[in-house]
Amino acid sequence: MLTFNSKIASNERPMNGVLHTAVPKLLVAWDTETTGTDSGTDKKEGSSEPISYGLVAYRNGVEEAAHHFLSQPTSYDLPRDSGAYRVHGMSPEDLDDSYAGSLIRSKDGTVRTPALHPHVALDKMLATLAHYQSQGAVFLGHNLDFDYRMLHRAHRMFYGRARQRISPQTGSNLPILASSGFDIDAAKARTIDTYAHAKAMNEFGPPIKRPPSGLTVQLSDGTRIENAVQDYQGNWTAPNENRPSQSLESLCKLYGIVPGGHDALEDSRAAAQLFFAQVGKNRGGR
Amino acid sequence: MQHAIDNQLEMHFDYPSSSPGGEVSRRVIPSGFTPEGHVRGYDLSNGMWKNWKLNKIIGPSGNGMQPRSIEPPEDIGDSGSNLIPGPSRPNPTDFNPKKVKINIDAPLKAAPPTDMEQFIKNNYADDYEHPNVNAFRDAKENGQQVTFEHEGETHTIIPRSINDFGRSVPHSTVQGYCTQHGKEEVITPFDIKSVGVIEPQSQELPTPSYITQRSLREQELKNNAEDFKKGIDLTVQPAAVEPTHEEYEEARASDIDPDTFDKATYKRVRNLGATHPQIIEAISANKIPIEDYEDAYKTALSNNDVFGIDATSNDTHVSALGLANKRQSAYNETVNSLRSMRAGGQESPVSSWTPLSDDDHNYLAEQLFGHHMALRNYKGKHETPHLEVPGGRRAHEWVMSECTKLDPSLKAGMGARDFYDSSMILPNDNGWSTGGSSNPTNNTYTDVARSLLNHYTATGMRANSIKDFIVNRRKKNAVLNIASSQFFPYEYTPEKYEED
Repeated sequence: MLTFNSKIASNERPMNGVLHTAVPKLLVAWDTETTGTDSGTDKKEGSSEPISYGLVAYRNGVEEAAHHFLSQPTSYDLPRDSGAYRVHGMSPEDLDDSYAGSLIRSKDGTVRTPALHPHVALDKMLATLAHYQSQGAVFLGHNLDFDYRMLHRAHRMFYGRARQRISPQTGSNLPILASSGFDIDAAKARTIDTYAHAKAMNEFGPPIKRPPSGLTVQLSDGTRIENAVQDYQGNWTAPNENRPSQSLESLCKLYGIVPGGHDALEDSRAAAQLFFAQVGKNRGGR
Repeated sequence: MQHAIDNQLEMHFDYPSSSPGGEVSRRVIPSGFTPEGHVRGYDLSNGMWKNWKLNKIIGPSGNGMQPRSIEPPEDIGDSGSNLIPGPSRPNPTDFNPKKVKINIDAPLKAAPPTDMEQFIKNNYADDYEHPNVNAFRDAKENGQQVTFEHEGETHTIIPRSINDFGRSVPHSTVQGYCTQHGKEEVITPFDIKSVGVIEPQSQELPTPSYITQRSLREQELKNNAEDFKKGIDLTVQPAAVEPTHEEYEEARASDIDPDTFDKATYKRVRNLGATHPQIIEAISANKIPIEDYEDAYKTALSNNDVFGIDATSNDTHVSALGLANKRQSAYNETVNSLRSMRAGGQESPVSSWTPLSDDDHNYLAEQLFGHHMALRNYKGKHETPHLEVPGGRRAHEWVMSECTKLDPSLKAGMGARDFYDSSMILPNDNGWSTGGSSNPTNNTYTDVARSLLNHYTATGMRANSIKDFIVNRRKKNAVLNIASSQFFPYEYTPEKYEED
């Protein structure tokens, strides 16, 4: 299970790029909602923080447990007109009230238990992930690289950075492993990303060439296309024309699955349902 | 407010701040009223006695009212007006009044001044004496409204408050409801040519929008709690298998660590179908933590279902043993990884954290235990947000039992059902602290829980054996269960706890 000393590189995703035709015996779908999309890089700290963690565990395809932890972010930079607020619908006032012990509602009307201190919420999420990892779980989510980065970001806030890199592969992994027993690199190596899976299934259509932005093309019939892109056959099209969006929401709609509405718990469920549908398709279904 | 004074309570409310950003939350012990009608109270955030303007207090908020967390020092009075909280202003988020600016085009007493401020200084000792301020003050006291003209518009203000923080400088403002425009307005009396007509109020002074909105919000949150209560059932259902006292005790004695052994887990596994001898074999002969055996047994049952295996209880047990033993290998790898990290000096920042002393550790565990004992034993109706639900007392008892995993000596207090001391309820967290090391001197619920969390993170780094690792994990999970249960143990379900 643990690959601290293994050769698996942190950016290697052996479960990506393949068409899955079976559902893992223990599948754990998870997701975070955040104050923004700036998760930072190795050199620059991001400004965004998790405000909720959601996780749903499936044993042999049957939902066994669900966990949802709201987290009060340390920064209050979340105006009501922000993109993040429009996405998940939780305002600073909501989070303040929730952290003070009140029960707030999510966008779908579900009553949520109070928000936790971000340190407590993070440790509960890591402990839950470690619990399933030690049972050999496969992790699942949509564009989970972002969520793994948010785990790192939140972890650094309370546990600091590693003093030194152990190896090029495991340097950033060490603090989380040490504090929680959750081996994030091993988890990445056992992660199925529904975005990558959809890509492998060619759900987004053939690859396109992206010329310099701002290119305007005039076709022979006189049609002008602004910001044109070229498809694999050399045809010019408008960006994203006839190409499904790569969001979880769009893919869910493609399969007739109710999207999670940017609620960490419901998005985890939606990603799992999407994956089950993709597996069905790969096995010769619709 | 009077209730808090009479009953010697501590209040949480929001109050305008002098710094940008509007209101800040305050924890205040009110003692009475000043002759000016202000509330006299001890500010717990900076340890000072202050006067609080009643019309500026928004709330109660946070914990609302609660028993005093400390006894305030003797009130020796203010040394100056600087003790009065900073400049008053409307709530910045909910209230956006129009400030009426009117050019003075006529003198108040003499020829038109060229420098208004100097004119005021020359003619009035302070703005209390300004006729316009006096007119509004009288109107407020007499329940009247004031009508005046400004740039072709008529304003009729029912004064709500007069912010008289200006001395010698014409800065007094009047906040009130304008019946002409149907909204809250703030005016500077010095800017008004003439106060015009003063007459009885034509209508009741309406509640300002920010108060209305807050009140609506409070009602919404109350409704949420009511809806939540309707959706949960914490009634203990009889189980198919009720283990005997002897079975529990044999399982406890066989466990990897009897102090952190969880009776409820044992009972759940029995009700999954495992027999007592099978469990003893797993936890004693195979040294498998009972919680891992439970996970493995559930997996084995699930595999039977999915793959159509017609398994006997023993087949399931053997399968569960195999799965749980694989997990033991994973723990071994983790412990080895931690050991090589330490040996190779490949340490994380956590490595430098110093675990708490036994005394500090036990003191913190006792504080959390006492918090939930108080909530369990309280006979009255809890103030929001401490949720009152049927079966809720057992939920708090579950958290108490989690505390006994940290310090088994606390088990002696489990039976004290009539003891109640409100001072055992730990205060709520109002601030942020991302410091890494444990600090047992802090005393909010979250601070106490986080100190223990950091402690078990530090001790987890030092795990030298699978037993160390498992026992530490059990204790850290107990702290995590406690940490998320301050107001109510929302993660509790009846099968999570079994009484001793």
